[in-house]
Amino acid sequence: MDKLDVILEEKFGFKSFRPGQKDIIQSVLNGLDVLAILPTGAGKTLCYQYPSKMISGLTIVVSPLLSLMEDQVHQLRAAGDKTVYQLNSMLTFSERKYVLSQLKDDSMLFISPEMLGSEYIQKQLKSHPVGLFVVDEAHCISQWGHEFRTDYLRLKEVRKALGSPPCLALTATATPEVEDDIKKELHMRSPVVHRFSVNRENIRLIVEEANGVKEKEQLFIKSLEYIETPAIIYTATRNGAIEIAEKLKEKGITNTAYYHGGMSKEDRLLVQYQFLKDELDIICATNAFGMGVNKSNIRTVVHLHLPSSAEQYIQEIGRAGRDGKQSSSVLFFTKEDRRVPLNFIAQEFPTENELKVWFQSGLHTNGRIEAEELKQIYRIDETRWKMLSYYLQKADMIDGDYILLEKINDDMLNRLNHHFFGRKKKKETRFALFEELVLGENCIRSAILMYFGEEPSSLRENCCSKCGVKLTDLKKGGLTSDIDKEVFSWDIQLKRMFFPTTDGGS
Amino acid sequence: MSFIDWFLLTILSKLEGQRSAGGAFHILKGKRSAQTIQDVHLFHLKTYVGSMKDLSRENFDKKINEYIKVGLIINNNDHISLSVKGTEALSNLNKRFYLPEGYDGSKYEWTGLREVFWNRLSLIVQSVTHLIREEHSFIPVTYQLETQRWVRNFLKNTPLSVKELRDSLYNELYQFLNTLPSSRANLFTNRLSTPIATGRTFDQLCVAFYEDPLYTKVYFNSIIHQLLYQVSERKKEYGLLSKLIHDIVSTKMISESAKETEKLLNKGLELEEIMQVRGLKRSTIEDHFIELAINNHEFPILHFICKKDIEDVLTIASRFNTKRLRFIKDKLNNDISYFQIRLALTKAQEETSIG
Ligand SMILES: Nc1ncnc2c1ncn2[C@@H]1O[C@H](COP(=O)(O)OP(=O)(O)OP(=O)(O)O)[C@@H](O)[C@H]1O
Ligand SMILES: [Mg+2]
Ligand SMILES: [Zn+2]
Repeated sequence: MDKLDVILEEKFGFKSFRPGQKDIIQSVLNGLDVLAILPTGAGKTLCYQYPSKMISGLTIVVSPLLSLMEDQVHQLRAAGDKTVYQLNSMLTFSERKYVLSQLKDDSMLFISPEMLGSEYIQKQLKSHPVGLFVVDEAHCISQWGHEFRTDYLRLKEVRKALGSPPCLALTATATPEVEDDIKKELHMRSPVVHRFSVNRENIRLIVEEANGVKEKEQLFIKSLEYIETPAIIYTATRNGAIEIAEKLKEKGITNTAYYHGGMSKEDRLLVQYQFLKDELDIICATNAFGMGVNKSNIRTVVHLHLPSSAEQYIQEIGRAGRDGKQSSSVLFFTKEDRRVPLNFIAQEFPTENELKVWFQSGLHTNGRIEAEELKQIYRIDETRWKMLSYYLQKADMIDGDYILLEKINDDMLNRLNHHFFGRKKKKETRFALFEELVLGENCIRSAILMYFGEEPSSLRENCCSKCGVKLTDLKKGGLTSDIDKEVFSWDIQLKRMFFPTTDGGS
Repeated sequence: MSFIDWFLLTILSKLEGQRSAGGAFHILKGKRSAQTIQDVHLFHLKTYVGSMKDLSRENFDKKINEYIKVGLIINNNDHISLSVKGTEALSNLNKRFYLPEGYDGSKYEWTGLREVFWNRLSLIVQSVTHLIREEHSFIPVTYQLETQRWVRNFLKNTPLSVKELRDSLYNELYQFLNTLPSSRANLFTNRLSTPIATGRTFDQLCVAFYEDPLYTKVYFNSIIHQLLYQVSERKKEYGLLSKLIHDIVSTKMISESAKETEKLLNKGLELEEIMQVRGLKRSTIEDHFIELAINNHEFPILHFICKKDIEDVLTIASRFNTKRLRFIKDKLNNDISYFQIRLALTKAQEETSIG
């Protein structure tokens, strides 16, 4: 046992490092730029939490997904690490000021790219030396960089403005192409790459094609005989999640709830805790659920729709089996399901016609229009708007709050259109690759590994449905939930809450 | 039709066809503007105001369009009124839904008091029930940093031991819940998160409430309103719970900006001078005055409008049963300003509420 191991046990209570962690941490402590590619659930958080305690200076963690950031920060704080803070758009101005006033040199600050882009925040941060610049879920950088989200493109400048601290980027899903993007977008200097296989051997990969939506549902309902819980059921839409939860209740599976982004924050948290604490067996959710959920005993992840890429699929099934035990993922789909991800991709980018209408409809004769007004009139959503503004700004078509419509010509629109078209095609191709892998005859695991630039899999047993695993092979585990089935009246409940019985039984 | 329909139709019917859909929306959301404040008083909407803070404009518009389409409401020149069919639908809904006893939107929802109190209470209950079991790490049931910080400070600074804290909390909650029908008391305890069980969502608790999550939520909120009322009336008996809100002072609905204006007015400055000192538009200062006149009976209303004019306005308003400023102005036929009419109407509220 060397010094690193001792500190691991003392500060974090872990007996030993998991594969990859020690090497990555060592590289970071050596002050190098590091790109760490570790599978889902492998323990990437420790790879920056650990160094942040050892180095001098602030650790800045850029995290692209807001809800993930919140979950992570509250979990870390709950686990006793009070040096962790967050800055994002969900905080009020006075909260932000408070956080900034609390920062010390050994703090770990989670921050959204938007906040980090703010000049005010940057100025405030300058009073602290930054020891480490972390980008978690770094694959997002690659994608969002291409979509011209200014905040992502600026990350490298921000890093420089903060004194070019060493940089650590982490992700579970990076194809070689994405790997290159990450290095480039972050200006990493001869980075050390620690790449581990994306493969999760303890998760069986099952796909089942159905003939139409009806049959898909029947197949799924039938599979409940085999599916081990706790389980997550992913649906494409909010209504889908609600309906499936309803169906399950009809079938007598009562320990179930739905979860989607449209619910109030309070209710979302409650459902999440119920699931974490094994009070629910099954949660029916949209992809709003899961990224920050650290539940180790999830046995099954079911998809009732087609994810839009292998990356998304891998991230979502990666919620299963974090305790290392045998788990399963089951994907039910029909041919028509492809429309959902394809529509989703189409909606991300403005079409040729939209661009024409927005900028050339001649609505405003004086040659300029307030950006907000244009956005309002055509109800352009935030994401697409940010994408557009970046381009307009670069082409000098924006003057303060105004867009100079007079300067926007056919040539410019053509170029924009060309770019968006290309991006759309790229995403469609990514989906097509995933679809192919689901529809094809070959081992799914190997296909996924090859997609990420790895050698095919050598797993012999419990691999995937193309290698002979059947739904009926899954062992139905006993429902784990230990929620009181008995309904107590309020006075007994209150007593039990506040006065634990001596035998520890609660 | 569900609770949301009852709520929306109720508001629209109370607005007597004299306001737009937008006006109704602001009341639901509890917008802090002079117009909304005045509407709440004019149309007797104190119990309702600010109760639907989570409602998005998009969903609201959807509802309104739906009502128009099926003929429940009529949009006349941007004024919304209930049709005969709508009135019928509402009276049917009235048989089912109502605002539960003790519910007071303006006092507890509009001010945000219920929210702050419940956030603190639920986190304190979670903390104390964990600490009593010597469980020191748990993920907080609210992500609000302000609440977390408040509770942490509270626990740190209280002279009570964990056991004493537990006893007070238990006793005070027991005392209150014991006064409620058991279905309500059950609803309350089922929302609490403790090591024994996580709180249930309104969706999971709605069986006893026409399977309507929103109705369940309003029902739950009414319990908190009752608790807040008890706590403020009997500070001695609720020693611990009253500490949860003792730092939240002003529950009056006067905006910060209006308070600034009030200070200057009390110093004897005229409207024009206040405009200059504050660098604000005339209409803004007038809005402040309306706000102040509604909330403060000492407001020197006669400084801005004479007794006779007030009486004239009120007479017209009651004779034609209207609160439309334009109509009143046309009828009066003198050079009374809209501002003066609005000031006069604040008195209408007082008189009817006394009677
Ligand atoms: N050395 C270790 N020993 C035991 N448990 C560990 C160790 N390192 C991390 N863990 C635990 O593993 C779990 C997963 O860790 P973490 O959330 O960091 O995974 P991740 O790689 O970030 O996954 P994802 O890709 O899904 O974000 C956590 O519960 C964490 O406490
Ligand atoms: Mg992670
Ligand atoms: Zn295989």
